Order: sequence, then C-alpha cells, then structure tokens
Amino acid sequence: MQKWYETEGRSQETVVASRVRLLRNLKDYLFPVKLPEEEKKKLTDQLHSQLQGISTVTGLSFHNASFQKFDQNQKEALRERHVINRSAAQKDGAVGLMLSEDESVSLVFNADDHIRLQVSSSGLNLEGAWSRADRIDDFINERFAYGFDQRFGYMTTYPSNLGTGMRAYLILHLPMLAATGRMQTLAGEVGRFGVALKDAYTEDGENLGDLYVAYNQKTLGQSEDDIAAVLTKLGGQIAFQEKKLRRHAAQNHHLERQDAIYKAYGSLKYARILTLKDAMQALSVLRLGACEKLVPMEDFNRLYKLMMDVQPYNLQIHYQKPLKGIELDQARAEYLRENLPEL
Amino acid sequence: MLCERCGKREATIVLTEVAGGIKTEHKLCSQCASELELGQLFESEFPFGKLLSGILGLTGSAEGQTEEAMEQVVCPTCGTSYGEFVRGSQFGCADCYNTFGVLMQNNIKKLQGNDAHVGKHPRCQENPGRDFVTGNESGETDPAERLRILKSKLQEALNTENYEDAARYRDEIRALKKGNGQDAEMV
Repeated sequence: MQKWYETEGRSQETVVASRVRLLRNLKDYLFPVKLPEEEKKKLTDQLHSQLQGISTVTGLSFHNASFQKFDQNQKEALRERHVINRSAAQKDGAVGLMLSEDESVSLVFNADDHIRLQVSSSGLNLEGAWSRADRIDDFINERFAYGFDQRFGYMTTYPSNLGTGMRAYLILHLPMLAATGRMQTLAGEVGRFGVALKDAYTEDGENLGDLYVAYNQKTLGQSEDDIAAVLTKLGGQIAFQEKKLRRHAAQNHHLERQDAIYKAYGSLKYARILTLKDAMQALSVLRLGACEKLVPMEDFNRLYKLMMDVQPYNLQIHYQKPLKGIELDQARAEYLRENLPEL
Repeated sequence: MLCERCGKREATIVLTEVAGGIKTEHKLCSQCASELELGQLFESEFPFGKLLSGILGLTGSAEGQTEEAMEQVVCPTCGTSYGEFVRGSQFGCADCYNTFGVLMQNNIKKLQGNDAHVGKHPRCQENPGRDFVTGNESGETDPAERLRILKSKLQEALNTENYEDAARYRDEIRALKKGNGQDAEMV
C-alpha cells in the first residue's frame, strides 16, 4: 500500500506535508504521569479494543502495537518518521500505538497524554488533515468521555497544550530561501502570527536537507479552523517566495543549476560512503531539480521518502543490524544506490 | 570543561531543558547556548515548556510564596503539589485544573496570550465538561463568566470578520445582560 507521503498533494513542490496533532485526556483517569503502571496497561488495552472500529471510520487498516514489544531502535525509527515524538520514544511499558497502514493516522496511548492523535497529509492540506482528525476525535469521544473545562478547553498534561490541544504542522522544503540566508528573517516574520519556524532535521545544530517545519505556538484562544487557516495562509506565502526564487534561478542560472543537480545525482548514485549531512544535502538539491523539471524525474515524492529512509535508525531497522560510524555511512550509500529512482 | 555541543570552547553555561517532562542538563559555551536558544528541536512538542517553570515559579516568589507554601497546595485526587506542578510543568489529572486553576490563571495568559478556550467542544460527552471556575457540574456557566467568554468570542469573531457569528454573540450578550438586570446598551 502507498504511504501517505507517496501520494500527490497541493503545492507539494514546497509544502511537503501537512499534519495535525490533537491531545486528549479521559475524564475519569489520572493523567499518565500519575496513573499507576498496572492501570495504565489496562487503559491502553481498553483503548485498543474499543477503538478497533476506527478502520471503518477512516477506511484504513491499522496495526496495533505495544511499546513493550519495541526495542529502542524501533521507537527511534518511528520518531525519525515523525510518527511519535521524542518524549514518547523515551517511554516504554504501557504505551500503545495504533498506526494506519499508510502511516497517515497514528494514535499513541498513555505517553504524555492519554491520547495523542495525529493525521498527516501530503502537500498543503491542513483543512483536510484537521477535518479527518475532527471525525476520528468524535469517534473516540463517542466511546470515552474527555476531560474538558469550559474555560481552559481540553485538559492536557502540559499547560502549553491546553485549549484546543491542537498543533498544526507544515513540513516545508525551502532550499532557495535557505541558500539566500532568509530563514531567520522569515522566522521572525511568521513569529508575529504566533507561528514558529524551525529545522525539521538537524545534526550538530545544522539544518539537514533544507526541510523546515512551521507550527502554531499557542493552543488557547484560537479555534482549530483559525489555527489551520493562519498556517495555510503563511504556508502559501512562504511557498510563493520560494517559488519566485526558484524561477529566477532556473531562468538566469539554468546551466549552473542543472550541473549542481546532476552532480548531486551522481554522488547519490555512485558514492560508497555518504554521511547523513551529505545525503540529505544531495537529496535536497535533487528534489529541487525534480520539482523544477531540471532533471527528468516525475516522482519527486520518492525523494522525501528517501530523506526519512536514510536517517540512522531507519537504516538500522532496514538492514536489521546495529550500524555505527562508517558502517552506517556505507549502508546509507548502498541503500541509496539501490533505491534512487532512475533518470 | 569543554562545551558538549561544539567540543571546542569552554563551557560556561548550564542549560536546563524540560521537554516532555524529561529534564536534561546541557553544559554549553555561550555561543552554542545562544544558538540553541533560537531553538532547533523539531520534536519539541512544548516549545515554551522550559520557559513555563520560569514563568510560574517567578510569579510565585514575587508574591512572597515560599517553597513550603507551594508544597502545601496539593491536588486531592492525584497528590500533585503546586510546587511539583511548577517544577515539572505538568498537571497530574483533570482535578489539578480545579486545584491550581486560580493560582495559574494569569500565568496561563502570559504563556498562551489568552485565557479562554475558543473552538471545538466535545460533542459526545455523557456529561458536558465540568466548569472548574464555578464548580458547576452541569456545564452551565456562571453568568459573569459566560459573559466574559462571550465577549472574547465576539472580539475574535470581529477580528476574523466573521460578522454572522459576531451578531449572534452580541445578541447573546444582550440577552444575558438583560437577564442580569444590567443595561443592555453598555455592550
């Protein structure tokens, strides 16, 4: 089955993906931080069994898993794919996971909050992601009563999430804005609208692959529709600026651009050792070239998939063995040689 | 000791980060610390989580609250003390909202820039959400509180040029004020 990031979406050249995350806690249970381990396990089982009908609501089939059966590498690999967050990756025991086959819908039980629902969609489609999340949320709520306060909204474990409990994310690919040194200014500008703009992948504090993420910082006093609308508007504007720069570069420096892209392709296709940084950089350049049709590669969605696949834990899961240092870089080069689309 | 991030310069700053309830200490040089302050952690679900204990704690001491006093306010349901709440920035259960609600109202506003929820309400609750400001179980809000919420909704509707909703909120506010014996023209 195709994963969600392999499908086509609006403005996808720059807005790689849209994602909505909702946090919910149940009315009659202590929050996970205070709930005894045994009761947490029982609650996780109960959530698993009573929410099986989610397949019918979403039309997707789901895998059920318990963190008990995961080793640390598997959790880290899920984190690299943004299925779970950093905090959940450090937990074990009673944490439960329901993940749709196409990875577009995930439910994490008893990590920081009782329920963490996440819906991902390709391209610029926050309204779509929110409306799906909204429906699934109602489906859960028909079976479990939520902790809700008239004033503070949905009761979350962290005060920084209360209100809607919603965080809306856009994953942006901005190689030209990054190359022209505009990211910091841009982050300042979107900050005025309560939106944060951060690196999606980093190593030693440096951005990898020109992937950025924009998300709402505040969750109280703004409706879900408004949160999605503000981000959609800003995402559209950022995409427009990036496209303007791309067009300019393609028109005025066509040969240089094309040369850089083919060199990137060459290194991905033939290198024997590739560090994470180098691989991400070359994939970013190639993705830009494919979007701008400077190289004949229709399917640029595959390149975002490869960006996730070459992360350290995903490679170790793929090759089913622990890899370190140069072994890892060697495995990365091998993986890319085998999986890079032909021109 | 050398900075754990760049490994080149002398570490002069200890940065305590609370993210997702996990407290980590980083020993950094001033340059790396300032770069980190710009924030680069995508996965951080709580971008201002580490600021929160600062905000909550600071106000506490400004009001002359001692640490001991902060330990005395305890949630009866889960046993979280106010001090524990401030340190970990975590509620332990739904009733903590009731216990600490009064203490943190202003701080929530500092953190979130707002102090009342707008947006989705649970559609399928057996019992609608409890109103912790008034303690009502029925979901019925105290009129003064209801008025405040309506006013904030009205303002929001006006800001987003959603005049249909704004008119509805205006009428509700009028009706509520009439019921209270207040002058409807005050709106």
